[in-house]
Amino acid sequence: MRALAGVVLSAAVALGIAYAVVEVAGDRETLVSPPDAIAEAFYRSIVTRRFEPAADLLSRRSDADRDALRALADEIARNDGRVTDVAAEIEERSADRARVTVTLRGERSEEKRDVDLVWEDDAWRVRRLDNGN
Amino acid sequence: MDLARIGIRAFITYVYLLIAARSSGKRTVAEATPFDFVLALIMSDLIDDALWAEVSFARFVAASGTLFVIDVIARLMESRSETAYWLLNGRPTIVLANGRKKADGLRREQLNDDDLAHLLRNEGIDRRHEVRLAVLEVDSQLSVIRNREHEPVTSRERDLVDEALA
Repeated sequence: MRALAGVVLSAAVALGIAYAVVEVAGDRETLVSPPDAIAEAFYRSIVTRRFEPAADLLSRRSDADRDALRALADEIARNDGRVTDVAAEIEERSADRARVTVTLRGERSEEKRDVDLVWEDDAWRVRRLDNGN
Repeated sequence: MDLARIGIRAFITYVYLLIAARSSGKRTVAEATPFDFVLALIMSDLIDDALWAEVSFARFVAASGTLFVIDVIARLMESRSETAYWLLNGRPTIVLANGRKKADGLRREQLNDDDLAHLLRNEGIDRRHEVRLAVLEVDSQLSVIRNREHEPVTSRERDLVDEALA
């Protein structure tokens, strides 16, 4: 029973520290996934056609639905072929907004896409998807 | 990704895991059971996600904390119930008795003659007939009870022989 109390207590303390660092100190990229990690995870899910986890990364304010995500995956496959690498880089970041450029390297070509993210429910979420350029 | 942030995340993750593992009363790795192995596999994937910031630290704590709680509850159950112990850890298997191989035990543990000979050599035994009982324990260690005449001579016995010869 002492071990059980110890484990629960250590988890509670760790969660308390995480809450304080994020909510009080305003951390947006150390103890939470930074915007580039979210954007990269989003596009990795899209190119592997795992729309469920991709949809979980969308903001409530996003107008993209599952059909839009499917269309995005189709468009990337048409443009670049099978994507073999996804990399993301932060372009701009404020306390509650971020802009990330995602590079998709495919078998046929490479393209860059801009992703707008917003801080929502204690996490960065994808708000808007730009067309490829 | 910023190297300093990776370092901070690794440090915090390490400290949390150390405290949680110590709190849960983890045994040594040498005494690991199949359940510990499963726990380690899942935990390593969670740590990977946490270090590369694929999940937030709070989510990592929630997932790993839940696993630690399950682990502690499982060990509380196995310390109170023999059935729970067998379910979680499996049973020791007799692989050799009175110098004879136990075919069903070897089959259950998927051991062949070479494996058995290897395990016996690790115990300093090169002939099966020296063994009264060999049991493969749940932590995959072989426990061996030798025949009386093949047990190593103790210093007390050596002293008695020396006294008799003197």
